[in-house]
Amino acid sequence: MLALLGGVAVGSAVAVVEVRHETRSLFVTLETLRDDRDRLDTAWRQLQLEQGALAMQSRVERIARESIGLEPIAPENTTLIRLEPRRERQ
Amino acid sequence: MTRRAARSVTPPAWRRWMLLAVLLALPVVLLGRAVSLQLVDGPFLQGQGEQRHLRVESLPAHRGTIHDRRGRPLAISAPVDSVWANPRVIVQEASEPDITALARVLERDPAPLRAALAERRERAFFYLERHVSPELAERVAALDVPGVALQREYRRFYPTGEVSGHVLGFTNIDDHGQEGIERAYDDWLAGAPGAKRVLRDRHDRTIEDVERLREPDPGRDLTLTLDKRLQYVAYRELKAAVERHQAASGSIVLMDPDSGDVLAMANQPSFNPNRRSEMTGERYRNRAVTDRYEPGSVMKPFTVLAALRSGRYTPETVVETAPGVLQVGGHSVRDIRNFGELSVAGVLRKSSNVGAARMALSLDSGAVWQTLNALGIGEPTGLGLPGEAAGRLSPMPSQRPIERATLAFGYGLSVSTLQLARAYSAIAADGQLPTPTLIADGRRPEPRQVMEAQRAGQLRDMLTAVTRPGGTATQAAVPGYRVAGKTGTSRKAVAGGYAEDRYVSTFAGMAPASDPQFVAVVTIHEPQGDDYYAGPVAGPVFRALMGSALRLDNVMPDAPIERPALNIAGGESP
Repeated sequence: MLALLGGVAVGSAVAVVEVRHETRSLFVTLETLRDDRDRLDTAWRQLQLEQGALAMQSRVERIARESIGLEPIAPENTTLIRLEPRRERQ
Repeated sequence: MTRRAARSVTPPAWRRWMLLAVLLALPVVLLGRAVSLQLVDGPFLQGQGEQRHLRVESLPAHRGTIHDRRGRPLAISAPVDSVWANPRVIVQEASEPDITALARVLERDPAPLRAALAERRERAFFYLERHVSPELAERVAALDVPGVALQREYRRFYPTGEVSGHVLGFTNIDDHGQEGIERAYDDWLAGAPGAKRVLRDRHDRTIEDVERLREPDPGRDLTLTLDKRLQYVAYRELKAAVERHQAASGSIVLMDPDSGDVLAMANQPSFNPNRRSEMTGERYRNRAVTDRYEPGSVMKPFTVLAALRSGRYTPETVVETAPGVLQVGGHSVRDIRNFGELSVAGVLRKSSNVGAARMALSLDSGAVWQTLNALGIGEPTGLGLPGEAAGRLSPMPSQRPIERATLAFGYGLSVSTLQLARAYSAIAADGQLPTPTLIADGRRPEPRQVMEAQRAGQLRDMLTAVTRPGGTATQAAVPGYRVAGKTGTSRKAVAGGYAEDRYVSTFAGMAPASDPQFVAVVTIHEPQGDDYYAGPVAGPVFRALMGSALRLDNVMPDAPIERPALNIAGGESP
């Protein structure tokens, strides 16, 4: 009986150590993953900022006007197409 | 068995002595070890222990992103590093060259830096430089000066810069909202920092993460009703107009009259929220919301509304405005010239003060006042931005004829640009007065019916004459569309009366007039030169913004087909 209880106690002690170790290593993994997430989030924010800077309306407008020679749509070069609602559905 | 027991009765004496000696030696060893730990190596071990200590470290949480109505970012928090020092450690352990090198990297003079550190030698935390660039942070880390470390913080970036600065506002260096949306929705946007327990070495570098005490709780995102493209057009056109006329300031608001969504809101002078040094109250005030002024003729449609409601007037009723001057209680009301007989619609088209005053004086004494009061003049609009002006309308309708007359053409009351936009939205939305909002998915109070739908339609029809040839604001016409609107050129009130040469030019309007999708109000303060009338000053700004809004939203032109402005094709594409 005593031997049995002793065995159980030793077994539980070993289990505690095992679980502790596993907690530690899982925590380390978790922290690494969190760091990864934070790094990716940081990179994403930086990219968003970069995109924001590149897509600045004033910059896009300048490039459109100067490099590509685009201009705002004027009424003279607009053609209005009126669709009959019924015909549209068919 | 018995023989063996008999033999071991007397053990040798040395065994007893040896046992005793061993037992005595044990406490001596323990004592010696204690002495060595406590007395001999004590200070060393204590120092080592302090150096590898558990600390609670805070985990910064980023602020929520602000988007425009199509999800394009307007304000983003990006991580940056701040350089801090532990003066106690640095003073003791850092060498002279270390500090000199640090000062060089931070672009500071070594001597004051050293003095500053020495002064704080009892403290454990001191910011050397906040929000440094990633390159600088790397160089500081590479120096590896004892007691100097980096701290992760978040900095707010505004990709649109000046364009939407007034609406968004800005945050201070500690990431708290100071103005605009950033301030009004600070609680929503701000995150709660988390905490973790870490093991640190003597340079305050984290060696090991021990446990998470609290997860950082990032702020929530916010979607605004602004449209980034229209906001840019509003900003660009307003800025150009203010420069062209060397005006003191200007504001513009573009609204969806049905929902009350503010699609664009810009002011001049403006500021760049990314650069804190530029900020002065003069620049960062959101004038469209915080500044009120006497609007002048732009209020006449509401006088006409009161007149139509009385049942005594129709749009065709003739009003005598000759000789262009009207004496009211010792004051004279003047038109710019003698218009003679005008219809009610003509009073609006020509913007006759005499006509408006005559109509108002013929009505019940509170009729115009009640109309204005119902439109929310004199009360905040409920937009929710800090510092909103309520405007001013006398608390009771005045009985004095001169006050009733001046109210009819927009003096003796004051409004903000936003309030004007809201009041005109009621005309645009068949009499429903919306509550302006900047938050896309916010709850909207039910609009209030402030005029009959039929009267709103009549007003719109009359107001389209203003932008047609013969009206006061042909410059505001958008080709292809019927534009309803009204100009206002008012004198600024100064001490002792009205200034002779300081004007406010306003244009408020909507398009397409048959079913308005947009309402815009342009206000320009103190345009210089001879062209101070609202038509040429504010009209072109309105035209550019409204034209862009209608085009980007693919609104069907509603102007009569015979206007040669557009090519019209039949059911098939050309």
